[in-house]
Amino acid sequence: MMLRRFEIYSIADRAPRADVDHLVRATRDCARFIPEVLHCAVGWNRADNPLHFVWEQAFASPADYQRYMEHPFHANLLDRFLMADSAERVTRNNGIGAGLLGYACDTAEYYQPRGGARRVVALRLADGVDAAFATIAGQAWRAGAMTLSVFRENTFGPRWFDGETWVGPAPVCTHVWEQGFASVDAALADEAPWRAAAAPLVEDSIEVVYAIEAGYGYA
Amino acid sequence: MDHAPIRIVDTIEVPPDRQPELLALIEETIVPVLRDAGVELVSCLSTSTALGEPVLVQATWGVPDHAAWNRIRKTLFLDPRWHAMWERVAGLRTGGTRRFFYPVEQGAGT
Repeated sequence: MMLRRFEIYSIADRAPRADVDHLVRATRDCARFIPEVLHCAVGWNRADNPLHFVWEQAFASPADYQRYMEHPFHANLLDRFLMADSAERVTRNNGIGAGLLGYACDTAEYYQPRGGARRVVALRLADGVDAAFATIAGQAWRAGAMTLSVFRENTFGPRWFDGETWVGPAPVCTHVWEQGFASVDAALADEAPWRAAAAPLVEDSIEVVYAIEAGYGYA
Repeated sequence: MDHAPIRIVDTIEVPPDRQPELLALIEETIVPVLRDAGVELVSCLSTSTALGEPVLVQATWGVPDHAAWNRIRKTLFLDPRWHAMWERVAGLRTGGTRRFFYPVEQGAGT
């Protein structure tokens, strides 16, 4: 079982540029230091909302994810710029609840070649509408603008240690819909007509659109 | 390099007149919250407040290893007291760092 994961942040207004650049390097090239991190890439959100920075990655197994969580690079470098107890934190709380998203998958069906772009939609769906939303997502995929589409339950957040074992609490976003595009221009040009059909099923949602900036080892 | 045990060194810069407030916050709030989560206070030191320059308060914490720290992080992240206390620290400090230190073999650098 593979794990697909997104961290999505708001950057603090007064964050020093050099520290933000350091965060970008530490996340984008994380696989240089933690080889269990796969398909590591970052991006800057082009959608009009308070989310700024996206870090996407994957893991071949829950055991690999656990090694990432317990790796010294994680505590030393990543948490330095992300956690509330660090004086060098460059992110800020945004109250949105979409900071950590992800899902389990059998293969790297999320993979997008270098040069591509992504829209990631964080969703809080009403109870019992998964299948109806999946139908809408499938129709949008077949309409042709996307290069890939993966709609799944958001299983991250409450599975801190290995991405598999529930330790709670329940995440704010119940589902994630990851979409691929050939370029960020194509992503921004996509008017996403699925939104109107999906609206009755969605209690809340927010999305990020970004060009994929591939990191160390991305292939 | 052996990454255990860990000493986590928080260096917090504050104006001299805010140092007592920070020390009280560490003693009365931060130490109990971290102790509840399994973190031991190793030492708390300060530079002088009489030098006409910002003061550095250095708190050193001990945890067994990075697996334990990951469990502790999870406990702290879900504790509202942890978020509130670091927000108070952020209101006091003008700079600082957190660094992780590990044992080295004596004489290894000679």
